[in-house]
Amino acid sequence: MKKIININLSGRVIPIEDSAYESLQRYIESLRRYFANEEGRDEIINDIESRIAELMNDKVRRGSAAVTDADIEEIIMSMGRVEDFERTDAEEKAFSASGQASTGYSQTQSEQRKPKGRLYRDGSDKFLGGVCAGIANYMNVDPAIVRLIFAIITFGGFGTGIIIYLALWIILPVKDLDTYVGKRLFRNPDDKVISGVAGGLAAYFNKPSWAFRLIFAAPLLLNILFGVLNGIFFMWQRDIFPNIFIGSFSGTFVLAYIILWIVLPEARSAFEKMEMRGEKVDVNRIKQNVQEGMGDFKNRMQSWGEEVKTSAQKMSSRAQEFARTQGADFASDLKQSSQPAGRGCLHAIAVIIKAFFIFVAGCITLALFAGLMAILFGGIAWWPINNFLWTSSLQKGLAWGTLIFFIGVPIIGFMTWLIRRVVRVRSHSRYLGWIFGGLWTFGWICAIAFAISIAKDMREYERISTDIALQQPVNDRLIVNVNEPEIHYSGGFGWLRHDNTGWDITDDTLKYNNVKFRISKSEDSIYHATLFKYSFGSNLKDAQTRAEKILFNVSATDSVINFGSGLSIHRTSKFRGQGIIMEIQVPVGKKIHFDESLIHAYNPWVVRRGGKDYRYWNRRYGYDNDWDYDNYFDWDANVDYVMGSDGKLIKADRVVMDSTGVYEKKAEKNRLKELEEKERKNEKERQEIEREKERLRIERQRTDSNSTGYKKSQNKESELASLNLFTPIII
Amino acid sequence: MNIENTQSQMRKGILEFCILSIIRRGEAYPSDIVEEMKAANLQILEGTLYPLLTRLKNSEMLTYRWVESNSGPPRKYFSLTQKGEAFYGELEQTWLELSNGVNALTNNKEHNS
Repeated sequence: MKKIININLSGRVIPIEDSAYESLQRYIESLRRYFANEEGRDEIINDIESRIAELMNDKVRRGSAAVTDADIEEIIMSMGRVEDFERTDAEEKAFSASGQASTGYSQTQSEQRKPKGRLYRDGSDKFLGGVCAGIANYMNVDPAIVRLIFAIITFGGFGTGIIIYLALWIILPVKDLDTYVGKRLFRNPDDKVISGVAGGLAAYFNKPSWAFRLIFAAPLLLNILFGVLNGIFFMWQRDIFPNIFIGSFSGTFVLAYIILWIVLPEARSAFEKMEMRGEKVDVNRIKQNVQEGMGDFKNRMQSWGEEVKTSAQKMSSRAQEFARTQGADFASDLKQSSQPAGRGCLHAIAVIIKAFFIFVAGCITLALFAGLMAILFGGIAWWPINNFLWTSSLQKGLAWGTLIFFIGVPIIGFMTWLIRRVVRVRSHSRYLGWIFGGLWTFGWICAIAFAISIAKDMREYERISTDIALQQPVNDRLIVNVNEPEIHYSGGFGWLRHDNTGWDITDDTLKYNNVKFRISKSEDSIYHATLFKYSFGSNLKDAQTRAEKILFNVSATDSVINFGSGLSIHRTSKFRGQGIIMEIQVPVGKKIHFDESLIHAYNPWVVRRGGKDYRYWNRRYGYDNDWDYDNYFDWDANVDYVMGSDGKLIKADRVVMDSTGVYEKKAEKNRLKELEEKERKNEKERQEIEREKERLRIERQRTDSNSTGYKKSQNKESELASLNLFTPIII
Repeated sequence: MNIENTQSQMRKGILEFCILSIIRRGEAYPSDIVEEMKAANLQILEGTLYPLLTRLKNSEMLTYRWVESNSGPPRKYFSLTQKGEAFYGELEQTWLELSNGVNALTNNKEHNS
């Protein structure tokens, strides 16, 4: 039984057997390949197609119900197979080659091959600027290969690829070039385990397919292997091998496989399979073309030299002419010559800006991708957090929906788009776009619903307070201490243990050190301590219940008040911004001492002085203003602080305080004393000088009346002057 | 160097000349050209004829026009242009010289032997 289909070939409707149609298709496709480089390719194919249609029509008119395999075979025989053309071609080449050797007539050869053009950027097949496609066209290879090589150069050569690319982008002129016809990357349906990705790669690179399978599967297998080994031999010591490294590695490969699966079309028809394998290995073709290019190079250089010479002559003659006309049309000349230069400049700037934006976009994508990877593979360590975040299974579902569809889908979509562009995949892309769009829309819905759900959960803020009974310290000195070991991450991921203090997570309990201290002035003469537990919740009651469920250890013994190193939340009460504020009221004139353990367990900035407005906190906005309005306090550990009457804490050994709490800083006091001392000393000296002056004046009056020796009095005069000179300085 | 190779080269060289001479006699449809060639015992594949015609047309030796046919869509009929005429003239000249020369030589050889 044979299926008969109707086809429309060159305007004729022809009934044809299914298998005959397939062989006809194969034949036309082989012709298309054969004439790929011919100038009037489409015209030739059209002519042949319409002739075939005519021949088939004849068959039908002569009485057969449909065109059969035999008919097609006959038609193909009369038209001639590609192999027949090739044979005559090969003979011709051999002939012309021998002819060339004897006569030196070289024109024939260049007529046979596709003429080698200049190097252009390809305007019709571009990814960025069409540079790679242009090079591919020049060398007659698949542009995807050139793009891959460029990518490798860029990554391996520390960005030199980018510079080369930019330079070529600016230098090369753009032109619409013929699209590449030849080897392409497909999925191979004849050689597949899952979807034929490895098979397709193998066919493309002409290597055994198991090699590609191994590349994809090896990290995954290693992961499993090491997992098992760890389980069997290294029970006592987890993470003997950097599992997470291989884990993320295998994940990358799995993702790459999935993306290739989406991106690559399956090679369905015989023609596509031919395209997949290609007739020649591309590397060889590159080699051949490069060799030919180098042979050409000498001639090119010669002709180029000629060109330079003639253009130089032209230039000199123009210059002479210019000198004759004395720059009469200098302005217009300049304008004309500067225009293309200006355009070139603008072009270069546009290119650089474009490249910059693409670079930024690339960076963002890379960051997103890394983020997704980190979430997917590093997130395993955070897995237990699931127990603490979601108050309902709906919320949990929304969270996952957001992660996968809102964040994951655009990343995978972008990667897919990128690879599709690099590999130049044609056809059936519409559905993919719809699918990605649909999934992302779903992601948006998830994200919005998730945000609303979380916002609802955080709508109210509530705190509860507990007074801690303190034994009043005998020596008026309260010591604040942490008597639990610092919180460390204790889960199964060793690489997280380092530098991860202050939080810990197990299946049942979440621990973290969100503990703050407020030190304020006591209204009476004894120490007070109040513990505030706070939390957010969907309503006041909810927030209150959560706050009550917080576990935090406080104990007072003698003059020491001990704290736990963090608060614990059980999985049933979930994490909704719970925290602790510890208020300690210190009576005026009494001391408080912070132990070093505080810094280790919490952070240096967890101690603040209670501000004036600290009691103000706003239910409506749900902020813990009672902490935010406190004053920053730059404190040191292991130092005694004393409470002043103004509510400030001062280092005890630096101040002198009276019984009412009015204090003076020691250093200031000493300085003042020093200055007063100096003042006293100066005063004494000034008085002495006054006395001396008085004495001298009296003596002079006496000598004047006696009219005795002039000289003596003069001496006294000079003495006085010198003293007068000093006085202002001393005073 | 095998015999087939040489034969096909000889044929190939005169292919264009023959095709042009057929077309010169009047508008021709490609399959008719093939028939005529076959009748004259000159083998040609239709598949090679079409590219040749296209090439000649592109170098303005030939032109074509669409002729309505009674069975389906119109067909392409080729005819010679002015330039093609001149080209043909030169080829004919060459062919005459060649055939005369070859004939003289081969006949001469037969005489000698």
